Amino acid sequence: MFGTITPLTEELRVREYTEYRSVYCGLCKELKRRYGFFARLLLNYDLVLVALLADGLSGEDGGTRPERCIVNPVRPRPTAGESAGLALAADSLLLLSWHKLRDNLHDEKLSKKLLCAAALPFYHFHYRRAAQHRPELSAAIAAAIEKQSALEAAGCTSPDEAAAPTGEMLSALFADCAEGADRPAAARLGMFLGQIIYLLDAADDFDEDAASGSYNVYHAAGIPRDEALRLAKEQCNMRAGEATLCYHLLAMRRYREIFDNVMYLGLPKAIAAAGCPKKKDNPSGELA
Amino acid sequence: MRDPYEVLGLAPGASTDEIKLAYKKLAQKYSADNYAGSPLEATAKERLAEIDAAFDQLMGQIRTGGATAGSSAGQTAGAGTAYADIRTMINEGRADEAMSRLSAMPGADTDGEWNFLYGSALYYKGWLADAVRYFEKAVSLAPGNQEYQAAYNRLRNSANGNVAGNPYGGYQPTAAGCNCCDMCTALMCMDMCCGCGRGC
Repeated sequence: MFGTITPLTEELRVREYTEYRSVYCGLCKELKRRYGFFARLLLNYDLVLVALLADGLSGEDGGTRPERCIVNPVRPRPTAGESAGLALAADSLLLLSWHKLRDNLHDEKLSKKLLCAAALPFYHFHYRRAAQHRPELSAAIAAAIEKQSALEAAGCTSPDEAAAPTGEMLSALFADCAEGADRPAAARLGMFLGQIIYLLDAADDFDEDAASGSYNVYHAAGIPRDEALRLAKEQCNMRAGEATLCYHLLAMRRYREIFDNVMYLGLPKAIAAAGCPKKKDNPSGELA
Repeated sequence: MRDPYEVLGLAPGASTDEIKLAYKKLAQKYSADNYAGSPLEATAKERLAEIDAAFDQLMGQIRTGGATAGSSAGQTAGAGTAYADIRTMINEGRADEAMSRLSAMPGADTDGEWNFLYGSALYYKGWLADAVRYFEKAVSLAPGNQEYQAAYNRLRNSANGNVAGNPYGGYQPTAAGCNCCDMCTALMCMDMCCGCGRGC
């Protein structure tokens, strides 16, 4: 569902790229600290954005230390230390992953269904802990997912309406990254990013959903593939423009260049790539 | 108040020209035009006020002129009509309520203001695709109206991929990385410019 909003790594300075990676590694370590070894299997680049925003706004610096990694045991890598942003990212990752697993239970493929069904009870305990740390966020995520299911079951044909629950979910998450006067701007930024994620997903999955009979908002509205892609890009571009207006009102004390890259380069790139076949974009590989 | 140099993003001791340039850039960024009808309008106005104060302090003069007088969705034409309440509702964030009130009123097919307000409520909620349709209708029903035109233009502009305040300017990502010819050429150029002791 997530997974589209990353920086354009080619345009990051090496220093910035290293910093970005260090937050990823820091998130992995934070997951281990809070939720144990197996929670790290859930790790992905998505929630790094949440950590960047939260620590970027607060200015908190947990320090960076070289640490060894189970995936790369030979060389220690710069790893961001504990911080409120990483804590929020770790908790949110648990909450979102839990719901994603539950969502996948409705998947057509039996093998995937079984895998998720097997994983669920394993993570249930961690999910409960995460929900205890962040009760309002957990409730907001659950409410949004329920609303999403209801809309899809009713066969919603409006892209705006269908994208709204994901927008609300990310709005709640991004609001938690900020404090006081910054919260409304962060919340609105999250709302538009959430809607973009949903619409890009709908565009990317157009063919797959048509084949499997799964719900797709563009399909439900009777829009053919090419038109759906064009509409998705246009609608996402509008939201990207509005998102940057919200971003302007947030004073980033740290990570500003990385976030600028995400907003002005990464986001447009993701939108332009709507509907193109995706290979899993893993920025970890190249600049080892 | 925060350090005025910090507010304008300048190093202490910046020149008058630098101050003016920084002010102009920031005033454009937080311009009321960008935030009219948005729930973040008040925040943007605060930023603008802060920037004005910083500029005044650094330049040691009172700014004249109405540069900070932005228009919000509530203040232009429509005051005193049935729509005045609706505008207030939207500005207060009661978008759904405004929409249901509007739905009960006539004017959907004939009144530019009706369409603009319905679009504004949708815009406030973040339902941009629907909002732009209503703005479009408002413009076609009331062609001279600047407020409606501005709202429509802003969304259409973003729809084409133009984003305000892009620090990367006209960056166009290249499809492939550099090839051998690029590298050779670059090395040759560097050699000519930075030739140790040879000079240009």
